[in-house]
Amino acid sequence: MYRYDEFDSKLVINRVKQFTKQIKRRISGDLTEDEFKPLRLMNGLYLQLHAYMLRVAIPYGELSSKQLKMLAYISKKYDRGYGHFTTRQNIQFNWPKLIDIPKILRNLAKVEMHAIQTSGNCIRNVTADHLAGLLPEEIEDPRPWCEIIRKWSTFHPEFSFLPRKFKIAVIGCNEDRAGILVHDIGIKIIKRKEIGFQIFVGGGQGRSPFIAKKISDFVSKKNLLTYLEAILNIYNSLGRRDNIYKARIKILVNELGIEHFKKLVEDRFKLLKQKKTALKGIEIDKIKNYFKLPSLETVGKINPEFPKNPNFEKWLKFNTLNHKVKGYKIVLVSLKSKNYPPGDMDYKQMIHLAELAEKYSFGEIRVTHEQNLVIPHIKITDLFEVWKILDSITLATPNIGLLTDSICCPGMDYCALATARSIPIAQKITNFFEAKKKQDEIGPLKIKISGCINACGHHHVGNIGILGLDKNGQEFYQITLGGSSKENASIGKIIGSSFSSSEIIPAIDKILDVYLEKRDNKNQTFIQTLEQIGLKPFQEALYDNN
Amino acid sequence: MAKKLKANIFVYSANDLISGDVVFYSEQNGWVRDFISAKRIMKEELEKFQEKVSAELKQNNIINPYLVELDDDGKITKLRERIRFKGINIKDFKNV
Repeated sequence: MYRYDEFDSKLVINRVKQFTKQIKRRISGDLTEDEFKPLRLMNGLYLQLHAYMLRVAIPYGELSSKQLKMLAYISKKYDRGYGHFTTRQNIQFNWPKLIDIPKILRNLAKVEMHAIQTSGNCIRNVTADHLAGLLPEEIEDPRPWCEIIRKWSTFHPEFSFLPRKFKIAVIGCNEDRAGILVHDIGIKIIKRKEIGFQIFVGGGQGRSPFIAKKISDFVSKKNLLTYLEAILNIYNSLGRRDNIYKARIKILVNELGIEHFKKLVEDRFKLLKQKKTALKGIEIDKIKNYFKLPSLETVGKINPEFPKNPNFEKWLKFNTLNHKVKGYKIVLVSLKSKNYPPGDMDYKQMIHLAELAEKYSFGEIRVTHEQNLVIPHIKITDLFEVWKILDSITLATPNIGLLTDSICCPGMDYCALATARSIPIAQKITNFFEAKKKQDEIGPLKIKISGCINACGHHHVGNIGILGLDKNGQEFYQITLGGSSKENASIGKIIGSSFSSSEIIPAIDKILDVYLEKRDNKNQTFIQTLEQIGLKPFQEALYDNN
Repeated sequence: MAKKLKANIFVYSANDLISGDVVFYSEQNGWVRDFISAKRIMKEELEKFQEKVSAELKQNNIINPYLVELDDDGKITKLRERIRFKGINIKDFKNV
């Protein structure tokens, strides 16, 4: 795992001291709320529906057991005993007091954590494939590149006041688990004669969803930061600042057209290449050294006999993946149980999971953008023990990738911007389909739920997307079909008029019935079936057209 | 602001600066956490109370004050405001 160097520590501690002074000045009245608001937002502190909310970065989703224990401590001591993992590899605390924020930030700094780049119009927390460094098919681990980008972008003076927030994601496999095509910049590690990067630009969700377009087929390692700088230069110069809804880079790319935008970037890149120092191999290697696999010992039995237990077997099927080292498995921990809102975890679970990771996985944990956790290195022979522990703390729900493993934003239960609730819809889906025992038959399916058009629940790229709306004071839900954030990314299409909160679950059930009836075979995915039959059969099942 | 409001009765709500807690304006006790004690403000009184709240803002105890609409029975009309008034916790979602 990455460890802070002297510079990182100093930077974070200085920022905590600076913000502590700003909070004191706010409480004493030396700063008005209008003056304080941009300062608190630069430190991840929002005012939400009920209270303040502090968003803490988990850069590229990597979390140590020590850090998770600290998050547990903070949630118990300064919040209401739980935290919420977000769709961008962050964690949110929903109830901190302003007066406690300096103490929280000092505690976070002790374990090399912070709330920098979790808000404001800057380059946000860089995200990555949560299986980075674990799969045999990976071209190269994306985490060192995320860290290089983090070092470059943190407090970069030129990019601290961009027209709007800016999100970057990096992957190292062909399979996209980070949704790079719905990011402002998506970076894919590729191999030509040498290893380098394909760069995609202008993706995003919100009220104007766009799939990112390829801007470069190959950027060398030494030129990565220079190329990113060229893109950000152009965006910073030409991105709109007069209209918040048109300020993201996706709007600029779409208005100029990708060819025009690319020309501007390439010209700037040529200019910057003459002035900037390219990344040196020695610097890249230094960062890479932090991300080496722990010493995984050779395991004798790779096919041990486990006790007969159907719940364990189901968990093994859905919640574990093959590790690139023989004798080990990757364990996916679902935060989508019947008991809690998607992504929520209480402090006791955090402590137990941290202890489990210490005992069985070198103290390493990952956070996924789909609001689940990963324990990356579990010996196959330890799997039954690990499952028993997870099951005892309600973290062994066997549903990874299935329809009850939905992404869901906090919605109107917490968010000041939301127009409808989303968590109760996710919970109703879980309760309904678990009772019907239908999800195993359906197989992999992504349902994504947002409580407003800002799309924090990624509904645009859900195979089935659900968007909460306010219609004359009533909650209604619009359904989109066919979205995906994978390598074949697409924006879902609206199926028709929206449904009330009592109609939405039966509507989803009808959609799934059509899928089960029309698919050619069990391996044909929802998206493939939709491409084959179109929206019409689904519309006919949902709406009375007489 | 008042032009967009449909109701005849209102309460003022805000968040406490230090705790972030949801608070309501009460004539006797200033900003309180108890909705029942909140001053019911009639439409024709809005201007007077807007001035009072502006003065309160300068005292620096609250942030983000705004009017919450009530129906003629004194109940909160909007779901958002009912959720905000009730508060919420992780356990509220068990077996929705």
